[in-house]
Amino acid sequence: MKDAKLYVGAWLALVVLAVGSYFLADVSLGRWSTFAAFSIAAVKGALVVLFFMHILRMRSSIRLAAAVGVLVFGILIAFSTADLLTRDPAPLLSPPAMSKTRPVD
Amino acid sequence: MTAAHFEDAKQEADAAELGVWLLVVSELLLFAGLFAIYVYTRAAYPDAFAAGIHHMSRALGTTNTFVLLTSSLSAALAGAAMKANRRGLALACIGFTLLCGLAFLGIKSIEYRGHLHEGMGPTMFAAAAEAGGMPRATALFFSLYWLMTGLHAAHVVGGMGGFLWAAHRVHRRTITAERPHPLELVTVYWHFVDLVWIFLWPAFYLTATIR
Repeated sequence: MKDAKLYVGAWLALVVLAVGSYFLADVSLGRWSTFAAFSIAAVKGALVVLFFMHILRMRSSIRLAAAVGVLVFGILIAFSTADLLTRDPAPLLSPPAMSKTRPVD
Repeated sequence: MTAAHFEDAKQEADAAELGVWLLVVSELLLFAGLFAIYVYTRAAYPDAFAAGIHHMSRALGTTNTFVLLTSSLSAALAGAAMKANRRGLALACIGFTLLCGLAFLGIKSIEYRGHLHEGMGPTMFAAAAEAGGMPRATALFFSLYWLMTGLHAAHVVGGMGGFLWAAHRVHRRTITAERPHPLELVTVYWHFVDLVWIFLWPAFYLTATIR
């Protein structure tokens, strides 16, 4: 059965990365922990697209459609992040009432 | 049988393949918009998001991650088995994938029921968050959580419907080793559903350390 070993290998890699991500959540990396968690997710996503969805075996029209999708996704997230990091005052500045925590009795 | 408006079976398969990929890409952009909202809201209310993620059951979320990853493996194996003309194995793999889908929805509904029980429903108001000892904006976290995971769960249901349809066609021998593409296309869609969860998992269960 063609590709069966490839699929099992990809699944093993995904499981190892998921286990790593699970334990990394308890390691205090400060603000880098979010970056690390989503970086691992991106690697896992790439494994799914490459080995399960076989994007490289697809003809060029499909690869183009997929690439445009990923590019637009990237632009949306990258520019949103850039906006958040550089705009002063920050967008969606939280009204104090929303951030307030009622002291627990 | 090739539909009348196609010249041959290959043209029909190519058109179906492009159609499914365009669907997947447009779905990706639907979730992209929601993730952009997530990024903004989380940046504005980091403490509320930390409180929300702390409130999640990481065990249930993680179990669902492994369930979906495994279902992607069985879905891929179903396609490979069909191409190798092993119908029985293909049907077994489809059946296992459907079971994984059911397990995912079952675990999700346990989580949802727990949230509802605690008053953290999709229309939770700021006052309810405050009453639970959380920042008021945690209500925004739960709104996004219900919207994004609910939409994802709807996609799981859709994918399961696709596999039921494919299983029916494999059984009736209208999906064959020479003509496996309908099954392969359902599989592509299922992998996309898995892909979305790969990003929802850290967003709602893992990244409680915000600063």
